[in-house]
Formats: sequence, structure tokens, C-alpha cells
Amino acid sequence: MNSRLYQVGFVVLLVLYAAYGLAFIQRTAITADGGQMHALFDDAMISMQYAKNLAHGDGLVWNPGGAPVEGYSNPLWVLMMAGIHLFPIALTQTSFYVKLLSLLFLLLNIVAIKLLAEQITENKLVPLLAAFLTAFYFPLNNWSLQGMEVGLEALLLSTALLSGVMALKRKKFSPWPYILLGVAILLRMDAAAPALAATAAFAWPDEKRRRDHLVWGLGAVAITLGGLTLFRVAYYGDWLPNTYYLKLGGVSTILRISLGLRRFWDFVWSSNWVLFALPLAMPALDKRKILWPLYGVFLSQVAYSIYVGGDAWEHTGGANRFIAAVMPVFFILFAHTLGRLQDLVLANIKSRSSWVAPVTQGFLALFAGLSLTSFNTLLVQDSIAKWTLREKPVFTESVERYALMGLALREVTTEEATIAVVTAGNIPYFSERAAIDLLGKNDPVIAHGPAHINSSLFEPGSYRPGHNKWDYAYSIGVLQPDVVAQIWEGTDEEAAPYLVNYELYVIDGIPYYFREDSPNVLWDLIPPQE
Amino acid sequence: MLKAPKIQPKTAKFLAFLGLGLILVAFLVYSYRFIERTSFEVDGERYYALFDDAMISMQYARNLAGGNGLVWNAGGERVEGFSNPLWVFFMAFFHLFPIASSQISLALQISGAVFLLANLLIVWRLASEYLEDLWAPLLAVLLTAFYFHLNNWTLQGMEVGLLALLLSAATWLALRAWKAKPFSFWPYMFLAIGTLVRIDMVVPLVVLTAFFAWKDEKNRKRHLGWGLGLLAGSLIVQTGLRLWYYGEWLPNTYYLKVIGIPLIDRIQRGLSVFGDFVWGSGWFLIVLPLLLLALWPEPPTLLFFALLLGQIGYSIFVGGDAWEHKGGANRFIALAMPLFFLLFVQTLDKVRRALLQKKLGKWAQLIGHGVLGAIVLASLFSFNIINENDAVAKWTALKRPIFVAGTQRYVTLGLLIQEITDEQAKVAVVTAGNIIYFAERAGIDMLGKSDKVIARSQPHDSSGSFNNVDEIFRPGHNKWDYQRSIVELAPDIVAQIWGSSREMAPYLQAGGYEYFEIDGFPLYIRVDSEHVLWDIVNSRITPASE
Repeated sequence: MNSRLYQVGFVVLLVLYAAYGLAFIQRTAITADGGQMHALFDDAMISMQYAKNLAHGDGLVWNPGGAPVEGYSNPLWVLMMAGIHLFPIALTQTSFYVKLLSLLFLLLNIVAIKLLAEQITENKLVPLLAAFLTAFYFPLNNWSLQGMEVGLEALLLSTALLSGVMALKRKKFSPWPYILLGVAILLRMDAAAPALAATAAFAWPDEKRRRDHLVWGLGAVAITLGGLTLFRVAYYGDWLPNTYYLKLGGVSTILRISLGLRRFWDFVWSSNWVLFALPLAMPALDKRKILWPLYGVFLSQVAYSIYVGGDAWEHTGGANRFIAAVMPVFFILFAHTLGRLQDLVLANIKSRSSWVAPVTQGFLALFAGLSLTSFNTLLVQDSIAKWTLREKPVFTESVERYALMGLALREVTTEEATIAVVTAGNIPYFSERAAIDLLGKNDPVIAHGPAHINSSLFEPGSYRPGHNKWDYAYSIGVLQPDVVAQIWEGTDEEAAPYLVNYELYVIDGIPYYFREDSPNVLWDLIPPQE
Repeated sequence: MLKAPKIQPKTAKFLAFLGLGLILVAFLVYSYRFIERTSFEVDGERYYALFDDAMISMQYARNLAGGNGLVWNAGGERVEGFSNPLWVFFMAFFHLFPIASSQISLALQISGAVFLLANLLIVWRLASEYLEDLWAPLLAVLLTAFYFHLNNWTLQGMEVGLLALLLSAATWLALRAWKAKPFSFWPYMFLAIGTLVRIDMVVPLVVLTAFFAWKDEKNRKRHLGWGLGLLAGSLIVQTGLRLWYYGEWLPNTYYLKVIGIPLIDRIQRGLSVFGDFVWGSGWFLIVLPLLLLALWPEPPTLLFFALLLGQIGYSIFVGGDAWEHKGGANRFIALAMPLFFLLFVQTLDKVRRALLQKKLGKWAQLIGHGVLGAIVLASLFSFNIINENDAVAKWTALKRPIFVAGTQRYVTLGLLIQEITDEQAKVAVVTAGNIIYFAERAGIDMLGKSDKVIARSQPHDSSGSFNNVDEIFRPGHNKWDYQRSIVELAPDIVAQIWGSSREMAPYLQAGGYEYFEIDGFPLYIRVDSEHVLWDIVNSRITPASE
């Protein structure tokens, strides 16, 4: 492939991706009151709620004036979101800018992936294929363009690997990989896993500079984790984030790991296990140690995902948030394997005709395209239509519902009202009311309480990390919200005794429980019931 | 340092034989368990029954053995509602013995297991001829032995296992003869027998003939002579017998499946279901052997590909099979899957050899073999995917295989109908096998497999697409005529409905039928029927509250 064609091809890919990303953002827009508004995946909106309060001078809290609880695990992302809230942007539009920023990070990540692939192979098809697979990998796009920090995390990991591999090739030490990994930890604490793996993978083959690697790598981890912990103790009065207690407390490690394994296996199986196994041939095809950091970062994220029992949205299929961030690294290994297999094919073909190489490249491109379809196969219906935007992406319908619920509740309550919610993002954000988190992400009492789990080894049952703790006696019986906007699925009977003083009203087709004696409900504005 | 074990060639050969023995024993245990899983109890008696299409053939076989001729209804019109003549004769053979109808299917299932076992031995011989590695044939045999779709069709009474055996045997003999250079007519003989079992076997017969006419220049005339001669002979004999006995040039199933269905619809559906099969089996595994064509296009490889592609092409041409919604290989492709497995194992082994150059140590070679085995084992899971819950449990016979629940229902319904009618009763059915066989009553085939008039009618409209292939059409399941089947032929009982009950309602009303739910089965019974035992019917009506 000549150099000019290669560069043009890459630019075309970037343009196509930018168009796809903008179309994706448009597909997640919500039509409300004749206009268009934007909202994010509900977990991202929890971070947005913290960001809004921080930017408005209410502190890094979920409810303005409420108890300080660390109900997020992505501090740097929250700060970035807070930055957006410093501008005079309507709440119905702030999410749009988060999506736009994510699109920018994803675009930069594609560039980083191409450069990283160029560092490990001379075969020009490999960087293009890796960039193509990264660009149109649905789970990475979906998490990022719906407001999670996954795109930025992917960019930080890719650039850290890029700078590290470049330095390794130049036989020089560079602190940049560790600075970037440190930033990744500030973005999300669990980036400590790939940071440690990368440190080891860079230090081991680089005997002469091993000490520098270890000092900088372990130092970056220690400083960032230490800094975050000091801030947490000072601000929240706790050694660990509330989400840690919520997700890891009350669940045995063995059960969690078994469920994590099961979830990972389901992901690999539904994405076609053979394609995942393909890079396993790499040790036989390319033994260079320069590949170790890539393996290390990818495998550490997989191991972390298994250790924490997977993510809460595994039922939709595809890579979860932990694995999606390192899928671009996997795609480099995947494309590199294909490149090496192409070399093997060419070495075995007797014909030296000029058409042989382009034909094999064409086959590889076709193969990569088909593989992408496999990688983008989710467990939900019409996953290809969702990927290609013929249908709205996953989560969009629920986001729309929750955002509109928030707007509706703002209309029918006073500013003093409290609303109990299961999905703790969009409803509090758009209602602008104090909220009670029934599932405990923002409630230490629930987070420290027992988990309701009916899972067994390798059988997930009801297990969903962060969604297995509730206590209606406390959240409704004691805290007495003015409105109970949602009840966790399958627990209606459990909640019923605590809702006896509540009246069910349906607004725009959605049921809410209003406390009968609440002075914070604008009863006149509640539409008449059929 | 730990040394890799060095295995002497003699020991290796012994171990390979031992491995084969273990696979064969495991297959026999599996078959026993599988067959057991297809049986069920009705009123305290254990019943063995076959997949419904096979039971249509059984009905013909019973009538033939009982001296009533090769017909669906004893004393009824002669209609060729089967497409597997030799298999029907084989079934008739068992009906010559005094075996209860609840047990006779077991004999067919056991013979299916025997054919599959024989096929494994042939695949072993074929693999030993074809594959270079000593251990690789074991993997090909393993994949064949535990390939659910081949086992399922065969052990539930279809002729697929026998056809697979004939195809494997013909391929093996052809390859052996070609390597040793003397000409052999036996491959053609086996495939010609195959055409008597099922006429579609003309496809591999033509492919084999063409292949060797191309590759074996010296014996070209003999290949063409035997191949085309036997093909013509088989077709002439079958057509002659059909003309004499049924007065038709073609089987009734041909008219049913082809007339009125545009070629483009057939091919569209065929392509779509083949695409689903490839995708569902983990597409990469299916396309992997194409590497052989690019890198190592040796004559045996080309022969296997030609035979396999012949079957795939035929499946696409006829629009696939009627049960594609279950997933996996249909009957046409399943019989050639052993050849695919040979290609698959060969590809993996060639890649292993290319990756692990000889200079590598014995440990690397040992690990390479281990990885090869692990990939093959894992692939078996992909190949055995079906579009149902608990696919693995059904494959491993932990749960009963697909189709069995339907079979049990039809058998129970057949026995019920026998109880509530006298011997002159006529029963209209959609599934024309088990109900009629166990009811022992004259049947009216509403979907026309055994009804010339319906088979020659135009199919009902379809509006399907690639996304919903069964809406394009379902081979053999898209022609019906309620005016004929219900009003004109006036069955005493309409045991099943096809499509919507709203469409059928006017005909049921015109025919004087009323709805009864008996033992949980919804039945439409003609109220003026003299062949219905009304006392029993009235005593067995399911109360409305149930």
C-alpha cells in the first residue's frame, strides 16, 4: 500500500467516523415540548448532578446542602463536567457538550491507535484495520457518546502505551506513560490495574531503565491513589468511595469472580469466541517484548472486570465499560495477528504476481469488516440496526423516559420536595429536587447494608453490581420522600407496606407515588386521573 | 529441565487406535442416551416415535408391509408423498415383524445409530488417507461423532445418516482408487444407491463424476460412463416405476415444493438460511477451510470442497429446508458435514505446522497439538448451536432433543383419535406423520404432501424478507385449500389448523364442525359424524375452567 493512499485512507476514516459520531449524538437526542434536549446514560447523569452542584457552589455532593457522599468513581470526569456547567448553558443542553467532548476524545483515540499500531508493525494495513475497528466499535462509542468517561480513559491508556512503546523502541526512558496513567487513575481509580500492568510490562524488558519505570510507575499509582484518598478522608470522611461499599460489600469474592467469569465468557461467546482467540496465536507469530505492554493493559482490564463481577449492564451484551476502554488495544493485537497471517499466506503462495498482495489485503479488510459485525453483536434485539443507527442506540429509550420524568416532577413539586429514585441520574438532575437513592449509590446507609442476591456460582440470577441493595423501611419509611418515582424491578410487594400513605398517580403514562400529606406536591397541577 | 515425552511410532499408532475406540464407545453411549431421551410415556407405556416427516414414510412403509401398497392411506389414492423410496422399503422391512407400533421406531433409531457408527469408521479411514498428522483423524472423527445435527436427523428417523455413510464411503473409495491409480466403479455404485434412498443424491453423483472426469484424464471415459450411466439408470428406473405405480413423472413432493414458487424466492430463502447457518456456527470457523483453497489446493481438498459446495448449492437452490428456524445444518448440508470436518481439521493442522516450524522443540509440538485439540473441542460447541434455549443441554442429551416435544404431542393426539373414532373415520391433519400412524385412521393431508390437488395448487401469498425467511415461504408448508380439505373431503375430525383459525372458521362452519377440547387437545369434530364415538368424546371433554 503506498504511503499516500494510506494517509488518505486514514483521513477518510476520520471524516467518516466524525460523521458517524455526530449522527450518533443526534440519535440520542430527545424531543420534548417541540424542542430538542440532550441527556446522558443514567450513571453519567449521576456524575452530572455532582458536577452541577460543584459548579453552582454547592460542593461535590449529590443533593445541594445534603450529606457529602462520594457516589461517583470518576473524579476527573466530574470536574470536566463541572467545567461545562460553568458556562451559561441550559440543563437540557449541557449533555450535548459532554457528548461532543467524548467524540473529540474518541477521534483522538483513533489517531493514537493508528500511531501505536505503526510502532509495532511495518504492515500498513494493520494500523488502518485497528483504527477502523476502533472507530466503529459500538460499545466504546455507546458508552462514550452517552456520557461515560470510557472514551477519555481509552485515549489516556492508548497514548500512555504509545509514548511508552516509542520510548522503548528509542531505548530511552520517558515519564509520559506514567503521567498519563496517573491522569487515568484520577479519571477512574480502577485504571490503577492497567497502570500497574503497564509498569511491569515496560520495566521487565527494559533492564537498563527498569528502576526508572518502577519508580515512576509505582509512584504515579501511589501519588494519585494517595491524593484521592486524602481528599476523600478530608471531604467525605471516608477511606473508600461509597460505591466500593455498595458493590463489594456483602458479596463473597468467590461468587463475584465466578459471575465475572460467566459475564466475560458470555461477552466473548456472543462476539464470536474464535475472533477473540485469534490474537492468542500472536506469541507464535511475533515474540517481541514490545507487545507485552499491550497484552498487559488489555488483560489487566479483563482481570479487573472479572474480579469485580462484571458491570451492571451485562444483559445488553457487548464489552462492559472496563473492557470497552481497552478494546482498541485488543484491535491492534487482532489486526497485527491478521497482518502476520497475511505474511504467512504470502510466504506460502508460490505465485509472485502483483495482484496477490492487494487481493490478500482485500480479504483481510473484508474479514475485519465481518469481524466488526461479530464484535458489535449484542444480546439485545436488532443490535446491528442499533450500531448502524437505523434504530436508536441501547439505553436511549430509558434515558429519554427518565429525563422526561425529571422534567415532569419539577412541574408538580415545590423546590423543597424530595424524590425517591432507582435511577439516580436523570430524574434528580432535571427535576432539580433533592433525591433519595433507593439503590444506595448516594446513600451510605444502603451501601453499607446487606445485599439481596439470589445468584449461585456462574449463574448470575439477580446479581447486578451496584443494584443489589435496598431497604424500603429506611428509604421510604424513615426518609419519607414526597414522591416515590420508581421501585426497583421485582420488589413491588416488598415496597407495598411502606407505600400505604402514598397515592398512585399516572402522569404522561408513567406511575408515581405521591405522599398523601405532602405539602411539597403541587396537587392542582397533577392531571386528573382516569 | 523436564523433557517432553518421546512417543515411538508403534505406540503412537496404538494410542490413536485407542483414541478411536474411546470415541466410538462414547458415541454408542451417547446414542443410547439420545434415543432414550426421544422416548416418552403415554398412559404408562413407553413410546418410541420419529420426527414427524419420518413418520410419514413409516405410514407408507406400514401400508406396504401390510399388503396395502405404497400408499399413505390403506385403500386410498396412490400418491407419492415421500422422497426417500429405499428408506421407505427399509422401514417396511421392520414392519414385516410383529413389533408393536410403540416400539418399531426404536428399530429405526438403532439402525440410524449403526449407520452413524459405520460412517465414523469410514471417516476415520478417509481422514487417515487425507490428513498428514497421526492424531488429526481422531479430531475429525470426534467432530463427526458428536455433531448434533447429523445425529439428531438420523436418530430421529431420517435417512440422513445412511446418506452420510454412502457419501463418505464413496469419497473414501474414490480417493483411494485415485491415489492407487486403478479405476473403481464402487464410488458411483454407492452414490447411485444413494439416489434410490433420496433422489437429491444425484448432486454428489454428478459432482464426483465431473471431478474425476476433470482430474483423472486417463480414465475420463470410464468415470463419465459409470457416473452418468448409473445416474441415468437410477433416474429411468425410478421414473419408470413411478409412472407405472403412481401414473406420474415426478413425485408429489416435487409439485408441492416447486410449482408456483419463483426460483428467485427459493434462492433468496436458500441464501438467507445458509447465511444464518454460517453466522450461527461462528462464521469464522466455517470459512476457515477456505485457506486450504488459497494455500494448499491439493486434489483431495478440491474434491471435498466440490462435494460440500454441491450440497450447499443444492440447499440454496431448493430454498433450504422446512425447519431452518431451529438453526444448525439442514438435512442436505448435514450429510456432507463430515467432509467439512475433514477440511476444518486439515486447515487447523496445516496452520499449526506453518506456525510451529520443525526447529522448535518437542514441547512446542506437544503444546501445538494440545491447542489444536482445544480449538476443535471448543469449535464443537459452536457447530452445535441451535436457535433454542439450553442448546448445549439438548446436544448433550441432558435435556430431550429438539422436535421431541412435538412428536410426543402428535403421538398422544393420534392415540386419542384412535380412542374416540371408529376405523372408518377420516382425520384432517397438518403434521401428517405421527397422528395418522398412531391413530390408524385415514388421513387428509391439509398441507398436500400426500394430496395431489393441493400439491399442484398455487402457494399462499408471502411477504417475507431476508430478515424473516419463513415468511418468504417454508418449503412444503405453504399450500393449503380448506374448501377441499374440509368442505369437500369432509373429515370426521379436523385435528390441527394451519395459519389462523379466523381463515379456517368459515369452512369449519360450512362443514358443520364444532369445537371440542378433549384431554387438552383442541379438536373440530363434524357433529353429524357417524364415525365419532360420541359417548367417549362427551366423557373426555376438558371442562372450560381448565
